[in-house]
Amino acid sequence: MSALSHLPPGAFAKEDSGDDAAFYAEARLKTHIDDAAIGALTDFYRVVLPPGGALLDLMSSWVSHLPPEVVYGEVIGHGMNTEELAANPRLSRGFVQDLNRAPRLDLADASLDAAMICVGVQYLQQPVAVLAEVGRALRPGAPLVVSYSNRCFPTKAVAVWRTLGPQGHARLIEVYLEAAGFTGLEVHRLKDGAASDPLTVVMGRAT
Amino acid sequence: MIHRLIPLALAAALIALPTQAQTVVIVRHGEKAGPSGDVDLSAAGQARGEALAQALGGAKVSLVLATPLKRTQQTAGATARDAGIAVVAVGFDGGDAAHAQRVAQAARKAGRAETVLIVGHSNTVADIARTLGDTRAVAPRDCEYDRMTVLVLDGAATRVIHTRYGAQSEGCGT
Repeated sequence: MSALSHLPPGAFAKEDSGDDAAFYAEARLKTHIDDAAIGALTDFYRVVLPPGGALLDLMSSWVSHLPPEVVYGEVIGHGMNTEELAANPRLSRGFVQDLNRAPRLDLADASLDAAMICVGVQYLQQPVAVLAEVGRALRPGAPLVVSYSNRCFPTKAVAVWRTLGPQGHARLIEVYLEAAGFTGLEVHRLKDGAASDPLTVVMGRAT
Repeated sequence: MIHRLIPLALAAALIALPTQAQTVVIVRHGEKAGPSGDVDLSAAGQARGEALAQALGGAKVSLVLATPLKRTQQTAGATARDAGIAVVAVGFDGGDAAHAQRVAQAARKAGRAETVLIVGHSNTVADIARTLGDTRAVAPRDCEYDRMTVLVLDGAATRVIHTRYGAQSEGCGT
């Protein structure tokens, strides 16, 4: 936690501190990044997510961006919106939970082969607690793929995220992952933002 | 901890489903006015029934199943009223397991792209959910009235979403 302990009070505050469940209750049945960025993410998933494995799609919605031809053993979706999860055809099951209020995940230790957080990490107010929970549920060596773009609901992003640029975002996620016990960190700039939405992946492996 | 998901407007999900899956929503009855017997709902329970109707307001609810007991009938009442249909009571003849089978059978008969609401009891909802494909169903705790299980019967696959609705159950922690 050393790098995070230098952050000022309020680093994880949000401009809109209203109940997140209420904010997300309206179905937001839309993608948050454009098709080119989605395609790049799907290609990345195709390489790093083990076919047949058990996956966790944290902060999911109605779409998981998984390669359509690959069959996974189980895809567990977490989200803030029941309808979106119910409409996501890739999920085997899902659960609705406000991670900012309840970061503990009801998932068994070392039960997952990979996890993904797509364009949602900027909303986590207890990022290390949540990512440590993901790490606990992952088998040792299993990847967590955190992706981000420049799209977000700004009033719901934490203060430290809003103050940083794209490079800083990658470094911040690395700090989160290190503090949560992940190793083998890699940053991949999948789309630079010139011809499409930008997309960067920060990946770590559970220990 | 707090899961106020109102309005859910499940219709949006149903419209987005290309395969026109059937949706089954399973809840326990709302808070009761007394500890035992065939009691009415308390004010909180009545509010929960209204929250349920609101949550399902956008969905095409074609069947509402409850038990012969007043607390499930009353919980289901607002949703049935809004859908313009009657609550169908499924009895307990033959025991809880037989009841769960009959409820699940009735639910499966509803049309695709339609939503079925099942209101049961703490000792029936998990059995019913399991019969319909929720392999991880667990019974709600005594104090827990806000749990909702949504099953999307999408061809051979069943998608199970565990969520909450209405007011958070009092004194029930997370």
